[in-house]
Amino acid sequence: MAKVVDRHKLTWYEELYLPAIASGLKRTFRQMFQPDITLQYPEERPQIYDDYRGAPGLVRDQDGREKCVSCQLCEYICPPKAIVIVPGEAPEGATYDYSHIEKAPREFFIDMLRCIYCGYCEEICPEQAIFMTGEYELNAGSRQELVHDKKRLYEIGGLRPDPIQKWKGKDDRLDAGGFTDLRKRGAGAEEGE
Amino acid sequence: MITLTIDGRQVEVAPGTTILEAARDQLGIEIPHYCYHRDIGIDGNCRICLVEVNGNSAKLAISCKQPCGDKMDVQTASPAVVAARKGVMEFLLINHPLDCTICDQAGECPLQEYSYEYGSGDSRFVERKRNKPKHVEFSDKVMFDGERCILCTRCTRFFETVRECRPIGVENMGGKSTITLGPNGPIADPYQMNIVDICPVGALTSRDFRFKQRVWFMDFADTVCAGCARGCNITAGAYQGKLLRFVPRRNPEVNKSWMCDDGRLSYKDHNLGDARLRGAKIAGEPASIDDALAKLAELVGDGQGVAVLASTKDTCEELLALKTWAASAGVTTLWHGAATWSGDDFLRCEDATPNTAGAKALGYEPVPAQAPALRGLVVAGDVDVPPALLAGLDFLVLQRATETELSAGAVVLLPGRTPLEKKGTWVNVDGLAQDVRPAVEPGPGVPEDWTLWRDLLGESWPSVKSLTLRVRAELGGADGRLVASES
Repeated sequence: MAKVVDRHKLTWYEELYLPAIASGLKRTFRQMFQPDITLQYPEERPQIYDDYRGAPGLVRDQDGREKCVSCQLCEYICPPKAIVIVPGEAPEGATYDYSHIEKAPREFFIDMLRCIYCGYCEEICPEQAIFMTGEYELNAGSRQELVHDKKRLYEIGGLRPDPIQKWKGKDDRLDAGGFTDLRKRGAGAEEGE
Repeated sequence: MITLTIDGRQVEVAPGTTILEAARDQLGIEIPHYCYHRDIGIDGNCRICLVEVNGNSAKLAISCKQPCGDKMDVQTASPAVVAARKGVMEFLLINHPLDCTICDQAGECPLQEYSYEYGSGDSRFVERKRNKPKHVEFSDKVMFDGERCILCTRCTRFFETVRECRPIGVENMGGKSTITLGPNGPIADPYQMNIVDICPVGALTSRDFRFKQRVWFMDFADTVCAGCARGCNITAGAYQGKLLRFVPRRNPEVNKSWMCDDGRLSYKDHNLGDARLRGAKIAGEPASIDDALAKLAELVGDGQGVAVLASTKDTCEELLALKTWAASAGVTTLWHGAATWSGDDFLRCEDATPNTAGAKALGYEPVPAQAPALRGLVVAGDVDVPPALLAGLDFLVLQRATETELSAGAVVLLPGRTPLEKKGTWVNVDGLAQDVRPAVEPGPGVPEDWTLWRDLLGESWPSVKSLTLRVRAELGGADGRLVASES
């Protein structure tokens, strides 16, 4: 049922209108002498705090090692399914220091048109390899450019020192005494055939 | 018969049954176990299956090896058992690297599952973990990681009891024990990849599937291997419509828990990619399937001098629909193709197609050595056409998933599905009818094969189910050994 609201009847002071205009102008002129709060972007930049959730990036540790081992947990947790990882064997020539890591991402895609900047990928990462960075300027000439590949993700992430380096120094020669060196024997046997 | 109580419930079992089997088969209670495997046998080394017998909490019994006794009182979850399992889990995890992030077994790992269910979730171990040989190539198919190994010896016992050979064994003692290759070098056994499936941890991994995809992203279908006439039950794993692996699925009537390596790696043959034929072709020009079928009916005419050659990779449903159409079109010559590979005395059959028995039961015959002169030939499915049949043909019709060198000479080309895209029935070498279920979808332009023959007939069978019922009725009378597969 419609509710009837009686129209407020203007007083003679209100009907003059001029006092209302004057009070409006007063506020306008007062504001002109206040300090500016508008940021002159892009000449001026906002301050980005450490916990800002900008574009996610992959990081390397102080040894320059790519920390991601492509466990694909971020791909699993990502609510908008923005992440696609192609897992693969770690590149040959890895030093003995890191011989326990056998897996590395062959490709790593984050579709920034899908990303909702929730930060779940950073939260779930067991290797501390993916971080939400301060990067907030994402622009491109095509949609494809906004699907960040591995190269772009490492550019965004950069280097982040790791105080623990949990994979380092797990040399598989440490206790090697007493074990048959199968890799040698396996190779020799193959050659012998 | 022996009567005993397990967790307060009375069960009756045959003498010699172990407590683990009685609890599993009679009550559906899963007692955790690593070293026990029902198709390899009992060893009793992992100690996770401890149960309390007759209230003796000081000395628990291993349920995988302890036979049921009369009037026994078994507790599978008493406080002493729970504490013992927790202790065993802690010991197993002491030297386990906990590298689930890079381990292929993650997601289908009993060590993860039991750790979650029975473990403490915390570690008291502060010393350095033991280092053992890692990324050892046991062969070109199997990779070994000594640190993940919990030394249940399922792999060595598989070779000893199932394959009766000893390519691998345990070397050293105590903390330095590890699985190692024998003096004859890499494993050569053609069934070696089964050790990857039975390994309860990620110590043995398939080099083919290694780091391909996480299992929790994959889609699985319970189906049957198309590699040979044995029809090993498998679970086919696919990711985004592409097959990535086959693993055997237990069926005590057919393959137990095993399958051969060639069958396991045959998933690659079913990933057609761009080679797939989509839509129909008439004389090499793309055409609608309806037009192609009309052309086919026109070519066949009254059926005189026309023969049908069907693949034995087709399901019984497809063969029945094809047979029904052929009968209505006046085609009386029904042949089935054949393909062979090397068989052995374990699972592999000489016949490298999965449904020869079904084709025979439905009235298809092998191509005779002296083939009669033909006017036309309709080839259904993936089959090698004997060159003798091609001489003097007026027309050739091919229905298959990919084009071959014969396609150029075919008047009508019809699309087909691969065995991993079909739904239906195959009859294996022992006459066992088994359900085939699709693991992947072929995409546009590839209808189910049986619908082609249905449309030619003008029938209105709504789904393959109506044909399955007819196949079961027809084959059930001809052969008493028709049993559905264990799913």
